[in-house]
Amino acid sequence: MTTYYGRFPVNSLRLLLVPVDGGRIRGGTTWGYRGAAIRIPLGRDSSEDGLRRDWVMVHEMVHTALPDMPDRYAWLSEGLAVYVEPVARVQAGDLTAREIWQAMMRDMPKGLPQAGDQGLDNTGTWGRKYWGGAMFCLLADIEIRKATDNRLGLQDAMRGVLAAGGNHEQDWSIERILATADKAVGVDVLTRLHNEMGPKPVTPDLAALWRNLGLKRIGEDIEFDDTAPLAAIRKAITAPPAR
Amino acid sequence: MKAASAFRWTVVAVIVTTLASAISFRADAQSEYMRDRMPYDAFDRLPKTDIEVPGGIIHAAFAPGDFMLSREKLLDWIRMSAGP
Repeated sequence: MTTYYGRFPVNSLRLLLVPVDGGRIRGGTTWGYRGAAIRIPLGRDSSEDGLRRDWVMVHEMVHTALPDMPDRYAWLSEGLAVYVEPVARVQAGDLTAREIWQAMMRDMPKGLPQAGDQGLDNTGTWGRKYWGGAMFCLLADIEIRKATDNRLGLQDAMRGVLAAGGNHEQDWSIERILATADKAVGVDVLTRLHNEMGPKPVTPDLAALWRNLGLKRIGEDIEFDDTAPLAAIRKAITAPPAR
Repeated sequence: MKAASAFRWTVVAVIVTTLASAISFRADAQSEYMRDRMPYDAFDRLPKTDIEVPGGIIHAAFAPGDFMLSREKLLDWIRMSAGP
């Protein structure tokens, strides 16, 4: 978390672990209305290895780095958490880039619009909320990097929101969040992308995207192609930040 | 004989009632901490461990009940998730 955001998102966080039956984490919830708080129902029989592989704690902590918004924009909050959590864990050395790109190639299609979709803002399905939101974040990261000669990315944009006082204890409009993030990187990628993907279904060509990033699926595994046009961007996304 | 049998049944009844109360107490304790919204007031009454992280402090608390892992291991997991 602190590697990705440069600091912990809130000055003070209440974190409650509740013992429940079983050996795994039963989800997690983050609140901000009376101060940032996370509750994790944790299986009594959870193992050390299970916790080392866990993604829920970091996912919930990412929520603390984004202002609270109306429910119809939950795709941004959940999508950001789905996208940032693995990237942050690669930057921290807890996962490999290969593992997370493999997972993205496998799971990102779950976020594509289905029949009857009315855009991210108006479609509350699980796939669109979590993976549609993550797809928005990946596309935004790539577009920011293209527009800044790969100097800046989504990470810098979201650090800008935090630097402007935007964390989960604040209520901001989505327009304010995206404009603040855009301002931090000097481009209008997030606002423009939201104008496109928010009100209507947009289906990116994922096969072409993976190819351009230099990702080839070989059976269950993947192979990197460092000669691909966006290979440098792919590497920069998971590189530990200089500061 | 009758008195001994009655005594035995009384002991069994006391044990069953105690166990039922303990289970019910645990269920009540869990439900207090698992409501729809964050149980801020109940949280604030729990003992807490403060974990300092760059730019903030995490106040970690455990709802009543046991984990297989030690609290120190669980706090390490929180520290690792928050980052260096």
